[in-house]
Amino acid sequence: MKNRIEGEDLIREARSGNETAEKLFYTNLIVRFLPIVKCEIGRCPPLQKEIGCTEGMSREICQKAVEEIKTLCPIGNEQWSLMRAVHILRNITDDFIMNMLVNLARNGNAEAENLLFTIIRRKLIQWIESKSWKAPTR
Amino acid sequence: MNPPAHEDMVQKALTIIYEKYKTAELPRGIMPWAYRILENVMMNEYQKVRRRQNLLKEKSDMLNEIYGNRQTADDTFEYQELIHEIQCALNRLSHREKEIFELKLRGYSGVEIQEQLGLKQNIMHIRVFRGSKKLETILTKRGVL
Repeated sequence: MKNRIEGEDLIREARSGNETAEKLFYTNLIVRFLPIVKCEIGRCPPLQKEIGCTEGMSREICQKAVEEIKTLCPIGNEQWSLMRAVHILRNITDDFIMNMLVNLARNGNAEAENLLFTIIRRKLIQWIESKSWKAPTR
Repeated sequence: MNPPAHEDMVQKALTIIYEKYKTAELPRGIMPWAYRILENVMMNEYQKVRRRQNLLKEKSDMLNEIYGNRQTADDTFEYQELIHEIQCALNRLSHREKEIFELKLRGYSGVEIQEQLGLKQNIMHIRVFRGSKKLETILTKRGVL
């Protein structure tokens, strides 16, 4: 059995109900996700300063993401795709980072506050532009 | 709406978020709350624009009704006279009453005027009531009403 996430054999085995293959698949997924999460946290210096070593925290986020993936689009599901899994991971990482920044900003960390509002501004502009506006109705 | 208007609205929303995020409860994280605030800001902007459009339409309808769509020099003169009379009447109100009426004529809602002038609701109602009475008296004396 190939020990690679994109290995067709592994996916086929996991889909056929082989629990060991499924476990291995999700473990590989965590390994694949770790650098993405580390990179995201690395983009937030105040966060990195606060939590120091990002390894444990990143692993925790990946674990959470994989749990979410198992619920929303498990490997057994035909709609499963790596893109979708990464999308879920990004959402969870974003939420985590924003919550940490909010906590830091509330405790008076000016750098975190600055970064928090830069991110919020960017997200709000993306959101408003994605609407291609018609007047909202309530 | 155009991009500069988008940026203005985002800026307004950010100001509100900045004022309130320290005390707000955020059970679903900050972003759903921030999107909601932006949506409310947009809703208010649209309502403001719609209100101004309606006001302009009402004014234009009223003028059409009074002057029967005639575009003669006399009519223009009469219209200018009317505006002049209203302006004179407004000038005779107290400063505080006048600023409320001026904002109202620009299409602001009662709540927006209250916020802008920092007034309580009852104080504003009293000033509007007194101002209206004064305007009515002045315009009646001048033979406009």
